[in-house]
Amino acid sequence: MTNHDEHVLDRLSDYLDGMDAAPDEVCEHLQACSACKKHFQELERIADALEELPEPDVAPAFATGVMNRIAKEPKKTARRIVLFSPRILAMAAGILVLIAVGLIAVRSQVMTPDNTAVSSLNAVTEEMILAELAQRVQLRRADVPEWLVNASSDEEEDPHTALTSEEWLDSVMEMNWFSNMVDDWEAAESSDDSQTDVFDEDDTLDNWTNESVPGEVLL
Amino acid sequence: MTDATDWELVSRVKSGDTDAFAQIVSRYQKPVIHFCQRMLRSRQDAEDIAQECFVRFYRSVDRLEPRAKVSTMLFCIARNLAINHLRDAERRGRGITDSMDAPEAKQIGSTSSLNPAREAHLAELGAMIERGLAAMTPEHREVLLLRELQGFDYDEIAEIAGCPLGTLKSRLARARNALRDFIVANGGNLT
Repeated sequence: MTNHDEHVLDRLSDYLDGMDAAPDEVCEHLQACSACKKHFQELERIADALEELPEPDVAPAFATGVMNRIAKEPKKTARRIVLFSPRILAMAAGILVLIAVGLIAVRSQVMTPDNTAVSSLNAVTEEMILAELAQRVQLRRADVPEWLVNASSDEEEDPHTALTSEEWLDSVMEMNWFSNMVDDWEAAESSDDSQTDVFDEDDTLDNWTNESVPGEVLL
Repeated sequence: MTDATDWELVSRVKSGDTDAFAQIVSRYQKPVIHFCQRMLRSRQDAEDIAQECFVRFYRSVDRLEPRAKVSTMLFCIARNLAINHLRDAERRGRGITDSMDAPEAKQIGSTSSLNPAREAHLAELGAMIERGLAAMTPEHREVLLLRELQGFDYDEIAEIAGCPLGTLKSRLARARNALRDFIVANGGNLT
């Protein structure tokens, strides 16, 4: 790779750190070349001096300040779920489709002359579905679309006017709770970025995380 | 308890143990502030950035997995915050104000049992190194500090600085040579 006549200045940094691929060659050259040897000794001296730079004294107030800020952060005892991961969104879409299909089936296939009985059955089924849905996503009853609340409680409703699955999904997407949640998420994201970061520390840490999606909601 | 590994502490932090996080802060506050201070040339800015570093680490802790050292992660955040801070300052036309105390910049060897002449030489060299570091680009300064002050290996530095290993090696070599050239050009004694 080299001989005694070739200087090794560009290899001295690696050699200093024990990272040169052929350290014996560098060592051999240094014994023969006074210029390179002097340069290497100067680099060694600088490295020693850098190591000796004194560490600063840290006042207890620093740790106190950090812990005070930590105390304002959400508690770590709750289970964190990344709500906007593709996996969660796919699961949510699947649940919604199942609910829609279930409602359509109940409304259109249970055909009896007794409208009261059908409405009662619909009401019970829809209440169970709503309860499950509310439990999963902390859906507030007040935020449920008016037509859905009425459909599950209004005995005067015609059971044959069931919504199509497309209408159901359109209505769900228009729900206030969903758009509010997205707004809250975006607001939280923007408030974190008070300075215009060139580097996003969260992105950086994604190398070492189990999720790489920034949108987190504490459930 | 104090002998717990970093990742044992992180595991406890995940379950809500803030005392464990206090131990992490205690473990790394000095090197993180030291690195930030050498990068930013301002003690106050260094403490602000270091504090932000720990808070951001805490926010991310639930998602972290033990695929790297905790120190690597902390310095990765600190480095990014410091570089952003420098660029913000440059954009505002403020630059970095050198507010390090002169005595602090000349403390090399001051607590050792060296003879006075040797101490004076080291103090002079230390001051020269301070000035040389300040004259360096942030990209050169950071790799030199991470290597010489913090003792990170090449792979860790490449991860922290976000550059390929080959780039890191050439950057580190240029940084060392630049500092050496600065000292020699300013009449420093490296013997």
